[in-house]
Amino acid sequence: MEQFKVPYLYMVTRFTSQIPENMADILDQHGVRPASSLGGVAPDAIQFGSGNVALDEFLEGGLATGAVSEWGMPAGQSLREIALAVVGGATRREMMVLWVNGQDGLDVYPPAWSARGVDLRFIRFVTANKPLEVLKPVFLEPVFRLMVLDSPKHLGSEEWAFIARQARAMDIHVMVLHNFLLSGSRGNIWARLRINGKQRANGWRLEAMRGKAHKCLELTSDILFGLPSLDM
Amino acid sequence: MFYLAISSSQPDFKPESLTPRFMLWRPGIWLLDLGPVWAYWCHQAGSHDLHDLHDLHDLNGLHGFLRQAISALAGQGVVAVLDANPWRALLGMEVMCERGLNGFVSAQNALGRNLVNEASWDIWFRLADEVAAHWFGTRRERFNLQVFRRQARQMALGMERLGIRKPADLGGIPALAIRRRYGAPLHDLWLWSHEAPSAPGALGAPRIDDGSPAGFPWVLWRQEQAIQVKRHLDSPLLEWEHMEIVLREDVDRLCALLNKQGAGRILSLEWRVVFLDLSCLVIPIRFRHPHDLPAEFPHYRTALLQACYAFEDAIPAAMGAAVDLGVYEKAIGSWDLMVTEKINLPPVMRDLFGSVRAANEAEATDDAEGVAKYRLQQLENRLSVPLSAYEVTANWIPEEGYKNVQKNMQPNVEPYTRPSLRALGLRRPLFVYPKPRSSPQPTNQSRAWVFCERIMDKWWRSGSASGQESTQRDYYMMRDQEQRAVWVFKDGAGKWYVHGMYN
Repeated sequence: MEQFKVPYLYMVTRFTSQIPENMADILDQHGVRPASSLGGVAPDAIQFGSGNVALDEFLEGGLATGAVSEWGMPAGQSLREIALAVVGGATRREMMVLWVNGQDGLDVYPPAWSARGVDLRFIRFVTANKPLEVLKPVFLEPVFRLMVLDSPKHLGSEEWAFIARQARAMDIHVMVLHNFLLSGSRGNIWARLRINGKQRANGWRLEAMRGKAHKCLELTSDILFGLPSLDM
Repeated sequence: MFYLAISSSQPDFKPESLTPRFMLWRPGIWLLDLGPVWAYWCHQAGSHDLHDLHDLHDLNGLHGFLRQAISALAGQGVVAVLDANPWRALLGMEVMCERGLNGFVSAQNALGRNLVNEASWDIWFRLADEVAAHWFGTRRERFNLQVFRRQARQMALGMERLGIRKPADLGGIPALAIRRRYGAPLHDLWLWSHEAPSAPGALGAPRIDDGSPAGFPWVLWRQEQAIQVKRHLDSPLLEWEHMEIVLREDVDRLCALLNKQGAGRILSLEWRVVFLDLSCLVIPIRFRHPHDLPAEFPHYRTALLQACYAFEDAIPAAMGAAVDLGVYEKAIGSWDLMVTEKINLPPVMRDLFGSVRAANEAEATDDAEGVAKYRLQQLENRLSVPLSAYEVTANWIPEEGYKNVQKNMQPNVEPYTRPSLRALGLRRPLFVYPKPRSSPQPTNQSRAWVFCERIMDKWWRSGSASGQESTQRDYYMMRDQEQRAVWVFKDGAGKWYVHGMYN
């Protein structure tokens, strides 16, 4: 497996996005850049697209390997349908995907996944609230090119650093889905993309908290899979 | 489908090439438990299937693979029957022998099922007598061989008088009637003869702690001397970090012994630690897939990871017991490490099936799929929790709409059912509760409801028809108090349940 050749250095600070422009230029001469500036995808990176033009454009062409994305997806709003569009795209390209289910008391229901275009031959499921404790070997080998950590319990900065480092080293993409909305006041320097999802009258609204440019996307539920409306 | 009955006249037939768990039923007849290696052979058959059998569905691929493997190991004249239940596998094999048939038959096919159902009373009672001999040998509780034989004679006489020609014709009689008239052992045999493979409590399903089928006289065959290394520690150890270094040396010594026996794959090891107070603790180290231990020289990462998980699980319990006993220092003074389950891969199998190979061999032949499968198996062996893979089945009942493909090898869904299944799946949520949760009747029906579907239980199954279970469910999408979209249903009795959540 090819790995990134560029020696990326990250500013490990909470205020990276607020570095004055002149200071950023000076640091850039020394090869020090904030993580948010790494919007450019490495030439050999794979991008996991959903097959939906608007969503893929919103995701800057798809979720690139070597990075981590963080999603705020409150429960009971069908927002994981959006994550599933990306997962389905990866499995259709015959790439192995691991879905780590940390939702209390809920199991995955595979027929619904299959109906939404996920090829079940290329996805594995595991239940773990603390994925780094029980699944460490998974992060050390590039078997799964896309990993989804659904509702992990309390990821500390050490864990985030480990996930981001391994995503880069193993050339995989890690999606971290939370059952709550992400806060704009408290950032996460390890995630290249931070997106909040909200349910709207006939679909969803995605708001990028972090990315190349802050932007929004309105999606209707029937666009992705021809789903029935949940608007009641 | 886990048990294989094989009749082979070949003197050098080695069942350990297929599974580590087998028993010699009688000279020339072997009974193999394929349970521990089922997923492994499915994987191997799958990779074989990609090359030669791509037109057939997975189950035929596996059967074809087993057919070839058995022929290669036991010769062309072999008689082999695969069934979920060892008793039925033996019945099918006896019928084939009686009719002069040979080859491999699976009871999952109509041919296999018919063979078992064609067993005569002669075969049934002859095998029953052999089971009784094994029960006597394994000291079944409250079992008397003389009484059993007398009851069997009475049963044979009864069947003759009633004009019942073969055991399959007796299926309609209640099990309790057999028990009352002919005793518990014959009741068990009758039950095994007629049970559905997937029935709860079926012989193929439950296993007692040592892995043997419940109630069946399973006598595990131990042919070779145990491969074992012993370690006396210079200074007592308690921390895993210290033990790991020493244990790695012992695994290396174990591999040296293994290499003398040729190619093999390990399924389980036993680590028997002896504490300073001379108490013992047996720590089983299990692998999910047969593991090539010597291939991991010199780090032996997989084996040491599994040993670490097993150690961390077992030691707190032992420490708890030590406190109860008033022993404050519970350090380890010595241990034994031994191979308890392994399969031998003879050269003939490696030559015939290129799929039985390591990743580097697959890489050499540019087989990306083979490499990916091998790496996934390796990874699964290194985890403390299992990874699940699922397959959709053609079934409208939500709980039965999918199966774990690690445990079952079911035929793929027929193409004509896929549109219906997709339409069903689209209305259903991505996440469900393992068991529907009872819920009070929704009070505020002004909250919008979306009717999803009405399903019927399989009323023809036992229980449903007699009214013991509700036969109808009406599913709705609705919002709960926290405005979350949930999947609820009302059963035939008017009770409400929450079954899933649209997350």
